[in-house]
Amino acid sequence: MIKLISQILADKLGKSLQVSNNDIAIYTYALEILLGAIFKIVIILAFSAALGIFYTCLVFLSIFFLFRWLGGGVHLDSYWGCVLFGIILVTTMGRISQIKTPLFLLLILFLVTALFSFLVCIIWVPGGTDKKPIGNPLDRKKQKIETLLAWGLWVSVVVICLSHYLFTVSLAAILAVFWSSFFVTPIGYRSIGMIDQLYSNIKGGAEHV
Amino acid sequence: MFKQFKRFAMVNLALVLTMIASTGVSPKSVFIMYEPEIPECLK
Repeated sequence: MIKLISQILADKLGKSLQVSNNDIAIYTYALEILLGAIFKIVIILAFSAALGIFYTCLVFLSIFFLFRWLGGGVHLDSYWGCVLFGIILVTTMGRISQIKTPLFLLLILFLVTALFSFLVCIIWVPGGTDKKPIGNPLDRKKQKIETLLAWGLWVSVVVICLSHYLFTVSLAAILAVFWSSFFVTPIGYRSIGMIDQLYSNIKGGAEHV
Repeated sequence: MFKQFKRFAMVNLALVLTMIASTGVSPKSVFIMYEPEIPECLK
């Protein structure tokens, strides 16, 4: 649906400006990512607001986006699968973040996640995809350094939050980095591949009915 | 006057869309959530 809307809008814009088919393809591509992103953010935040977990979801989503942007990682193939998975992941993590967690448990979670995400940064970041592989060694090195800087910033923010007893924010930030790091690991790629396969099987089955 | 404004708005929209498309194909995509097929002319 988003592809169709983007195509129609890009065609109209292209005809008005009398540009080439290549330019129309570029507009379609841009509209598809723009509308797709806006729709997904709005629907996730609307769900989280309806469930009363807006702020924890916002913290989770912001940190998750930052690390996904810098570190890359696996993507789902279908847009609607991505929307559904995004809603489930963000609202579940937003809800978990609201559970009252003792400080020692938060500290253990923080240390384990910090170590795990640091190793992921060193070994696997940046995580490319089939559509957009990141092969250039200079690009890879640059993204790795930027992700490590973001990691340092995240560690500082979580330490400050924990020292100010902001446990809910801390837990949302810890979970966001855990999941964004997980989606860069080979296990993360395999897991999303399985979810993609499952989603396409369900979709395929539904289409046959 | 309105036609001129409309043309101005469309040219700027096209410019913004071209910028979004170029960030979409860069290694660090700002719009990270959904990866549509990249058009041949941008590969």
